[in-house]
Amino acid sequence: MTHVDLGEAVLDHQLLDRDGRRCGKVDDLELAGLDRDDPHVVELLVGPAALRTRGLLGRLVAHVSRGHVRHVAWEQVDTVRAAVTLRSQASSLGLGRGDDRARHWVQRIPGAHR
Amino acid sequence: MVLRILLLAALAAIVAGCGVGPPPVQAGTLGSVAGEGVLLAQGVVRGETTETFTRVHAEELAAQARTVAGATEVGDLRSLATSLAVALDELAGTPDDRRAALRVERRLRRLAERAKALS
Amino acid sequence: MKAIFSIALGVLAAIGGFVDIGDIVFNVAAGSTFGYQLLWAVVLGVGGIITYAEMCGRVAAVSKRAVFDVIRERLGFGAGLVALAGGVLVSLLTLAAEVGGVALVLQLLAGLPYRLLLVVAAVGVGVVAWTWPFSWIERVFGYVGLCLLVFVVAAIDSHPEWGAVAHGFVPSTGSGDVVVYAYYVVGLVGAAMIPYEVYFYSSGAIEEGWGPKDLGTNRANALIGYSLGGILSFALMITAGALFLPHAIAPDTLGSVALAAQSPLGVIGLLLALLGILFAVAGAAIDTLFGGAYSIAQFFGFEWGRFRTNVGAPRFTVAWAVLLVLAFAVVVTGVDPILVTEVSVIFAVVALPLTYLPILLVANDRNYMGVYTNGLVANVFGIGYLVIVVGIALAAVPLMVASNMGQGR
Repeated sequence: MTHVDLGEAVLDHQLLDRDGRRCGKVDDLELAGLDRDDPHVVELLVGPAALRTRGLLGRLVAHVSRGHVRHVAWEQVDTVRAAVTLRSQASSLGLGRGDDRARHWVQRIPGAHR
Repeated sequence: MVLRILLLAALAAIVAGCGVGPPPVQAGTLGSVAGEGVLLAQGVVRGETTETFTRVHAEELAAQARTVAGATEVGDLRSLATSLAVALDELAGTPDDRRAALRVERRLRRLAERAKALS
Repeated sequence: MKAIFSIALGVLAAIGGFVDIGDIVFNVAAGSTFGYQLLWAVVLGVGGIITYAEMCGRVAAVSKRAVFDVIRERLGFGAGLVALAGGVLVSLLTLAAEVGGVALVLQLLAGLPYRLLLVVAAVGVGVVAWTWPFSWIERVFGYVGLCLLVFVVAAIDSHPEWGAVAHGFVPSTGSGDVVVYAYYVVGLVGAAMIPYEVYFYSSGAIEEGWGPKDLGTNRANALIGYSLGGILSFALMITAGALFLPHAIAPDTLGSVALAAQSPLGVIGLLLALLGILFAVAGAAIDTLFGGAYSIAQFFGFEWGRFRTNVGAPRFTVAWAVLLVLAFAVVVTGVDPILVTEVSVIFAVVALPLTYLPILLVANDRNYMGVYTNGLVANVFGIGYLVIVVGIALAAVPLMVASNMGQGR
């Protein structure tokens, strides 16, 4: 499988970090080498802003959401099975920020650790 | 486009659900209310039900009858609906009274017959 | 031995959890309008949910993907988002109907004002979702939901004409208004196959860490659990047919449903019916609540699952909390929960193909399923039901309007 085939195989798949934490989906891909007949995936693009290229509805979602595109270098990909597992922790890659922000509020409510 | 159609359909459904329909349907509804009232009253007569259930359900049925009474233009149906509501209110007011329930049951049976004749 | 015991427990929970407010409303209404003539439609619906749930469970256990993972991967972002929007909208309506239904039953038991009980119902559902572990939720509501077996007793006790009952299992066009009949066929199949059930079932499989070794359990839950659950639906329809049809009673509320058990069986029948309806509908409310939140979290890739704890899956938690508040807002307007139920089932039927097709495709895909792809039986039923599901999805809204929501023209 070329890198591009593999890249397309991971599009819209679940991302897991080193600890098995779910931290988003592969929302888009950054390809390179298309002009030199050596197409390969350079980066995974994650986050609502990355949906800009994914059709009309993607543009809509990108438009209404805040935040920047998260770039995850292809070298960070450890394994590709049902989900795409990464070599590092989500926080070091800038992923899972939405959950971090939500956790800030949820943890204040009694029973949050149930 | 599809969303618009769905929304219109939902609206139509809600309006249809609220409406009471033409006279034959109204008579059918009243017959149904009367029939259910009979079963409810029978439960009280036999002492085989709870007061709360009788009261709440009789009130619901009475409300249905009153909706038809308010919506219908047919005089016979209106008086029938009103009589139904009165009988059911009585049942709701004395949900533990077996003798009253027996009287209400008989009245509701007669009203059910009338509804059938009118539909 | 322990394995059989645990499968049996799962099956019991599935039986008790099978019936929700949509099944109750449509089965009783169908019975009181057409007697036993629509029993075959229940069989059709049960066959559909068995086919569909087994596939979703197998896909989840083998490929570790829940329904909305699959939908986004297979349909892409745009089409997947449409499917998500449809699924969440239907879940929201269904949830509103169920919260309203819980309040209605509480009113019949306690006599307190309806709007107050709506708050009790919504808060109760929220507290259970926040504090109870997944297994408790499944089991408690499933087991107490088994009180609905009182309707099986009521059905037998009402001495129906068993010949006519048997006849009802044979598909026909019924006697009476064909359009209304067709509406009920769509409603009965839809109520049995409603999407949140499989969102919840497949996510539950992943919550419980199912793998290929659990495929036997999956098959047992789906096949035995849902078939026996179907018996509850039969009982509701037969009781209504025996008790309501002869007196031209059109049951309009849950009180009428409970009356169907009270009339033949007295106070015990009434209380078991009310308790069974309460727990079946409340359990369904929680399943719907999580089902909607699962879909959202799985589509966007958030952390999800009751197993992660509230703080461990914060956006998932926020998602279900928001859904609950919105559902409460819908039902506190005073709209009739029974009406909302009927609309939600019909809309669920329209949304069914969008959820179903990707699952069927993935279940046949060796890249996802390895050696566990659909066999001949699964595909015969799978493709057959796809045709049926597309057919009723197209017919649902026209039939709802033409039949005046089953009231007749």
